[in-house]
Amino acid sequence: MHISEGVLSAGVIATSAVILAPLIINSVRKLHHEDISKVALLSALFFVVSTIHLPIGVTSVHFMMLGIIGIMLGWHSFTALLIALLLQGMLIGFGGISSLAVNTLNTGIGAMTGFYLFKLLKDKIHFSILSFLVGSVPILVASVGIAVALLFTSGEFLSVAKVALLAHFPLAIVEGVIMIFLFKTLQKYQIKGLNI
Amino acid sequence: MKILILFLSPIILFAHALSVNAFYESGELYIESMFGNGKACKGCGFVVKHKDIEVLKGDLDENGLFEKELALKAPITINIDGGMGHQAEMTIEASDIEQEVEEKSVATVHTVSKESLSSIDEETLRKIIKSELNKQNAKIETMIEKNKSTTEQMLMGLGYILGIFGLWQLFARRYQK
Repeated sequence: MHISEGVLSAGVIATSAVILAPLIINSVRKLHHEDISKVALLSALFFVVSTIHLPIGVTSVHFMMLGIIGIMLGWHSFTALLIALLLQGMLIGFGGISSLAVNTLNTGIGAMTGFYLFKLLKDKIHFSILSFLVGSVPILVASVGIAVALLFTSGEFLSVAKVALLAHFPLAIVEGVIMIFLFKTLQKYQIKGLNI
Repeated sequence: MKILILFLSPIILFAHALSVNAFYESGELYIESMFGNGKACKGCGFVVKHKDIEVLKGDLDENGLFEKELALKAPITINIDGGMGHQAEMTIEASDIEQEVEEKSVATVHTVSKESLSSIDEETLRKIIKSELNKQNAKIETMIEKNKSTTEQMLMGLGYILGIFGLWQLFARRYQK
């Protein structure tokens, strides 16, 4: 779920932009030209899967695939997500320019959670459980980020923040299951650069 | 993998951007709001403001519509709350209302001149036609919005992504060697 234009307060927007800026600068400076196509591919993946919605009760949440983005890109996830979210905001009115930094930060932190989970737990737990966790935990982290941003904007958003949190639980389970199949396939073919 | 494909295949692709279209004609306010997939914004709350002062608050009907005769002053800003952080805004500028006043006067001319149709000059006729076309314009805009292809926009987005990163790679390759 993206936070729409005009919802967040100036303070939240400015703070998130200040936190995000060095992460993007660092990523852009360190991004090797051979890795750019990988960033483009995952940016496109996020752009497309974000339009696939999972109806949950009266609302719906969209897929994010943050786990796979995090594992494959690491800190470059922020750059990939920034470009995808910028284009979504500009072309399909999904999210917005003012909420771009917050949305990038939320999803980026989620992706980084997936990255570190995979790094820390690889070879320590069963691969299917690891895949599930890498798929589901980043979604929950991103939803917490959305809730925090909304609550910092106004206490009136408490109910919306609660709904955002609860609505992401089923999505986390679905993405976790998808990630099991996806990781098994990627592991089977041992594609160069995936390190799975 | 087959299960993954089976799982994803029935899911409808759509973007949930919220759009609003509104016009103020003959003292009547008309609001229509829908999501990116063409679904009406059923029962969505709306607020009508004049220069940041709230003049009307209510909910759209089952078809995402609202129609009511009201005395409003321009500029009118309409905010739609689609829930879950989805919002849309539209402003009807003073020029649109002025045009409406002009339309009314033209309509009067039109009624009076019915008795003497032969006396309508080209300029008056042009104004009458223009006013009638303007009335239909807002409804046509809504129809266009409904028919906008999300797939088209998605492909456009993918094109931009490939273009941006392609150019980046081109320059990075030169400078990083």
